[in-house]
Formats: sequence, structure tokens, C-alpha cells
Amino acid sequence: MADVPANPSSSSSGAPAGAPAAAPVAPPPAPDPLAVAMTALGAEVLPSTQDGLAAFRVGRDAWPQLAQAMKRDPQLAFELLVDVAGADFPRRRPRFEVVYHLWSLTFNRLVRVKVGVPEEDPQIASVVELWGSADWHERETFDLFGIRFAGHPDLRRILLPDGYPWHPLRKDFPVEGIDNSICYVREGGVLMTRELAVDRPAGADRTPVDLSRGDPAGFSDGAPTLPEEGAK
Amino acid sequence: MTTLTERIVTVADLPQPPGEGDLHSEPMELSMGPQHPATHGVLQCKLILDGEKIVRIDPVMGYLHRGKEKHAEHMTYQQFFTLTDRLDYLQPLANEVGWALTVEKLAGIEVPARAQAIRTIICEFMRLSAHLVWAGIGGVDTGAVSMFMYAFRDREALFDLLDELTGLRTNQEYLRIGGVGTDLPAELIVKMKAWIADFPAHIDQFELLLTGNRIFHQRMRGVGQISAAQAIDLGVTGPCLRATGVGVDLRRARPYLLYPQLEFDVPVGTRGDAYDRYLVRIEEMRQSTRILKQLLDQLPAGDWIAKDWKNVLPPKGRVYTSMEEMIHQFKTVTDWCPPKGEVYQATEAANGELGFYLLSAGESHPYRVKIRSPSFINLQALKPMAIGAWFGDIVAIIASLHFIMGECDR
Repeated sequence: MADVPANPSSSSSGAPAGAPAAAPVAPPPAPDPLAVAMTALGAEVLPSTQDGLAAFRVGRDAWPQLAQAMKRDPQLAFELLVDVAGADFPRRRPRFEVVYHLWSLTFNRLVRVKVGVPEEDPQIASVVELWGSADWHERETFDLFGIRFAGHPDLRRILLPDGYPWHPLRKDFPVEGIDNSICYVREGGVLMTRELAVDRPAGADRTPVDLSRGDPAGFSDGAPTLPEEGAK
Repeated sequence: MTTLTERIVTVADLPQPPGEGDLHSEPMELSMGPQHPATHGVLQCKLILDGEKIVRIDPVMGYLHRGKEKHAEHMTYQQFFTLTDRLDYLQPLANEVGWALTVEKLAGIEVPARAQAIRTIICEFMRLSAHLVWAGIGGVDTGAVSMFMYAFRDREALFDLLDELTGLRTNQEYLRIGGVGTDLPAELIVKMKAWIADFPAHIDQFELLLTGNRIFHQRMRGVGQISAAQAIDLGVTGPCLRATGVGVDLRRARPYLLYPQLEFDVPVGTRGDAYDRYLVRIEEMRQSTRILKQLLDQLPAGDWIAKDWKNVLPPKGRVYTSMEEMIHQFKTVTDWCPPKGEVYQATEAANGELGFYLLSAGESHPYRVKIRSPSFINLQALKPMAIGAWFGDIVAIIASLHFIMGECDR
């Protein structure tokens, strides 16, 4: 499967290096104040894509400070967290990417911020403290990609059942699913999965999948009881 | 012989109820749903009650999770329309418009003016369809059962119009990349205009039934109240956000289709309670008819699908008669690859911001599709709305919030 390059515009054939400049150079456009502010906070400006949104990439360590500033700084004022999307690029390092879309109602400005998350330690800081809507967004990303959000008050699966063993939006999970002969059992109030002994004819398995890349430990640590209610 | 004496007992003579602090009972856990008719599909709410008061609520979803985002990675762009129909199944065509706009933005396809106008028309019809179901079901949930009949009568008439346009009542799959499936015929425009001319009087009828109705007012006023700051924090969009007084509508804020050229108002509430959410939706129905009237009166002439046969499916009639078109059809269906890139495109659906985030690796199928579904995000507001409310109000809160589980679980 082809991979998305980190820089989409790099795929087009650029002018060969050292070619003489054909046209007189236009004066450089005035720098965008948003880009200046974001660069000062450690973000890298990404080339614009088809939708023309301002896009930035930031390291995992610099993300909490950047998020804080984006929410609290009146010059940025990104009040509404529109969307959190995970993405899996098995051939890239870091393998995962969490893509945030943030909207400033004050300036009516939508931006995209990408944070890379390595496969070995799939963890990123939670932003629930800043945007309440991140709660379910992050639970969903955890559920489907196995990316953990440090500091999330209640990181459980949300769409799939508690105890489901896999994270299906990872690229190594087959679309037809895994013949999961598992049943759900309750042991001491905790929902657990157990493999059923089913006789299957040899070769009945579908697409072989290397699940050693997956996160078999990332489940069934949350008891399906009601969580403690926060102060909200 | 004893004499009977009369004594008038007033409230003040009765033993005083103990202070509120004494009224607490043992917390009771109650599971509402997933088959409860008032949870609008398959939502389960785990409630902890203290007497009749809700102290904790934990919505459990995923009963309708079909893995659409995973499926999208293994389908062609045109095939995925089938799945978008079944997101918010009350407004299938509006979901299709959202996906079509996303793919067209990625591939840079210009859509002719008439196709854009038809898309705007069906978007507004879908808003009406969704709001009509909401009005009918919301009426049933709060005790006004006749409301259901009135709302569904109009919705059936609306479906007849769409049936005539697309061939199906619902889950139409009418959109094409680059345009729409068929033209809007002139005789149907006449019928649509007649429906729109009648409809405002029907909204008056709904209002006669509900707006001034004392029982309805008491069930909805002050129930499930959230502030504007809370709504923005929770990412709530659509009528639920506008009911708190924030006049944000994507048709104005990030315009698409023909909305910049149309005249319409964005209604906002003041209190952010269930009654305001009702009023905002009723007014949105009026504004939708206003938009539809403008569009149908001056529908631009021209093509209803872009004549860009390298990217767009050619008309079916020509495919059977012309070699060139048959080749184009074959190539477009089997091997159409938009360029590499990424796009986020949002539309104002009936419940709020419906966004598609699309990553393309330049292949015939998307690399990653993330559906930003308004129902899923708006449902987070159920917690602050319900905690502290009476148990009997949860049905009114769910009705006024209005989420569709097909869209929520994806």
C-alpha cells in the first residue's frame, strides 16, 4: 500500500537545483501573524493542501504548551475543538499521527495541527482540561487506534465493547475483521474476553494479519462500572 | 349525639416536609435503553438516581457501530456515498453533499451552477425532513402525540417529491462526484413550489399545537439548560449551540454551495434550554422554506453534472451508445484516482457541523476518512444537561438535543 508522503507537494517535480531564476523574484508576502505566533511556540508550518487550511506540525513534547496557548491566548483564541482524528502510517516514523482541527470563533479561523505519536510508546498528552469536547474524541481515538491520552480522566473504549482485543483502524487490522471466537465473561465485576475453543478447518482463516504490531495489552483494564463523576 | 365540626385544612396545617437534606434515598442504578423508545435508536444511558434526581449519567453507545471509517479505506470514492446515506438517516442527501464536496475539493472538480443549486435545494429539504421528524418525535416524547401525525404527514409529502427526483424515498444515493444523478425536471419544480407555498401554514399549525401549549412549555422551559460557554467548550454545534445565543452557522461562517448568494436569517435563542432549542428549529424550518423559494424561483440553467469525463461518470444513456463514454465510464468506476492530499470539509447538517477529513494517497480509495459527526459530539452535552435534572426530564432533554445514533456510532 502506498504511503502518504509527509509533504504532499514534494511529489511534484520541482525545478532542478541550480537552474537560473526565470522571472524576477516577487517581493516575499508579509508573514501571516498566525504562522509567526505558532512558530514561536514550536510549531512547524506545513505546506497548504487542497482545502487551504493553515496547517502545523508540532512535536509531542511541545504540544501541551502549544494547546494551552492556542486556547488561552486572546490573539489565537481557538475556543472550539472541532475534531480529533487519528491516522496510521505503518511505514513512517513516528507511525501514528493525531490530527486536531481547531476553530477560532473570534477570528472565524480553522487550523489543523498534527502531532506524531511513535508506535513504541503510543501516548500523547490529553487536552480535556482545555476543551471539554476532547473527552469523547480522545476516547474514540484510543478505541480505534490504541493511542493513549495521558491525563484523560476516563480513557475507556467508546464505540467498541469493553474488552475488545484490537484497535481496528490500524492498517494491520483486516477490513473483514478477525475471526474472533471470543466471548465476554464477567469476572468479579470486570468484563473480560476469553477465547473459545472452536474447531476450524485448516486454512479457514482469512487474510493473515501480523498482530504482533498491535497492542494486545491495551484493553480490559477498565471495569465496566460507572466512572466517578468529575466536578463538572 | 355528637356534633360534626368542620375544619378546613390548609397546606400550612400539614406536617412540614423535612428539609431537602433529609430526602436523599439510597442511590439507584437504572439502565435506560438501548431499546428504550425515547432514546432515539440504540443509546443506553446508565443512570444513578437519588430519588427522582439524576446524580450521574453515563451514555453508552456503539450498538450501531458499523465501522464506516474502516470500510471507506476499502471502497472507491463513489461507492462510499452508499455509506454516507446511512449516517444520519433522516437526511441522507445532506450527508452525500458533504462527502461530494470533500472529494471535489480534493480533486479540484468544478461543479456547474445548476448542480450546485440542486444540491442546495436538497440540503434544505433534508433539513426540513430532519426537523420534521424531530418535531414529531419530540412531540411524542413530551406527550403531544398528535404532533407526530401532523409532522409525518408533511414528511411523507416531502418524500414523495424526493422520490420523484431520485427514485427512492430514502437512502437515495443521488449525488455524483461532479454533480447530481439526474436533472430536476420542470414539472417537479412546480410541485415543490406548491409544497413550499403550503408549508409555512403547517408550521403555524405546529406552533399552535406546541409553542403556546402550557404542558409543552412546562416540560421544556428551563429543562436541560447549558450556557454558551459550556456549549462551546463541549464542541456543540448546530441548533443546540444557536439556542444558547451563539449565532454560528456554517452556511455563513464557512460558506459552501450557493449559500453566500441567498437571503436567510440565523435564528438564535437566549437561554439554551430545551424550549429554545425547539424555537430555533421551528424558525430554521421557516428559513429553509425561504431559501427554497429563492432557489426554485431562479434556478440557473445549464448542466447538472460537470462535463469532465476524466473525473466524472458520464450519463448512463451515452454509455450504452458511445464507445468513448463507455471507456470513460469503465475508467472512472474502476480506476479513478484523485491526487494526493488532505481535505477537511464541513457542512451545516440538521444537527450541526458534519465534517469529513479525508487523506488521499493518490489511490482509487481513500487512505483515511474521519467523519466528524455532530450527533456524537453534541451527545456529550447530555451529561451537563441531565445531571441535577429530574428523571422525568431526561426524555425531554434527549428529544430536544436530537441525535441520530446511526451518525453517532458510524
